[in-house]
Amino acid sequence: MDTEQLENQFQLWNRFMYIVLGSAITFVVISFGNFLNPRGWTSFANYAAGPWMMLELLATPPGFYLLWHKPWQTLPLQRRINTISGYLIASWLGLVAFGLMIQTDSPTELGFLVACGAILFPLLYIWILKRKPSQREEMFP
Amino acid sequence: MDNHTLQKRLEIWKRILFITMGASLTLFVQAVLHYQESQRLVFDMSWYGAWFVVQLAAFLPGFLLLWGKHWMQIPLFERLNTIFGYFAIAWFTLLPVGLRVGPYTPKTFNFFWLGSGIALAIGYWWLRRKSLGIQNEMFP
Repeated sequence: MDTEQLENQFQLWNRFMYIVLGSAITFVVISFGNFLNPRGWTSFANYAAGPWMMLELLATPPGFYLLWHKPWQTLPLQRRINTISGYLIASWLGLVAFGLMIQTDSPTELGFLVACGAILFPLLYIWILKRKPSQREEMFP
Repeated sequence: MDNHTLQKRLEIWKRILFITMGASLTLFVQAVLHYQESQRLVFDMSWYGAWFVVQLAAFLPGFLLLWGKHWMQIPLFERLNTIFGYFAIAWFTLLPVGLRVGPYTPKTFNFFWLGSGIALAIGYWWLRRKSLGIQNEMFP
């Protein structure tokens, strides 16, 4: 696949990322509301679990696909990083929503994982942005 | 505000359009599954809160891009798909709330929903023709 085709496909992945991100934000908002007032979703019911799993499936694999899949590596990482981060942030927001849905009392291991993600994601993002591109990633060395 | 800045802002509005689309789809899927599961009206305020925010986030940018003073500098043809993208999402977002309140007021809601859909389609067709006409005048 040539660079132009990849760019075109990348635009589609970028737009899809915003859709997934919107979905994740909605999940967090609804879950937070129900966390404050637990009369809504009393449990991880089917109508919450199904879409939530869908969200995680649509957010996490595309993020790693764009990060590690061979053809994408012809595009420089700096070009892909915002879209990849968008997918991974959507995935993390999904975990936050999950935590809020099942949380009833004090923070648990999931809360710890979510907090770790909140610290690690920005650090990883900054590290990738500041890192010099390797020879393979450079389009015009 | 100059044209270049407005073009950049339009790009941002296009991205927000996709975020709103994702939010609207999520509300729809949840409403369908919830309806299948319980078939009753549940007053979970957070769902309605999120629905209201999404509805506002779809309606207001549509009107802003259509009638906003600054936006008139950009030809309507360039804005039209984004504007009607927002309106289409606002229309689609009515559907999940219809599924929730539909069993209580079926005919009124169906009439309103289908009527607004037809109005939206006619509005798009009419404005598209109008915007194309303006473009033709620019390049006779």
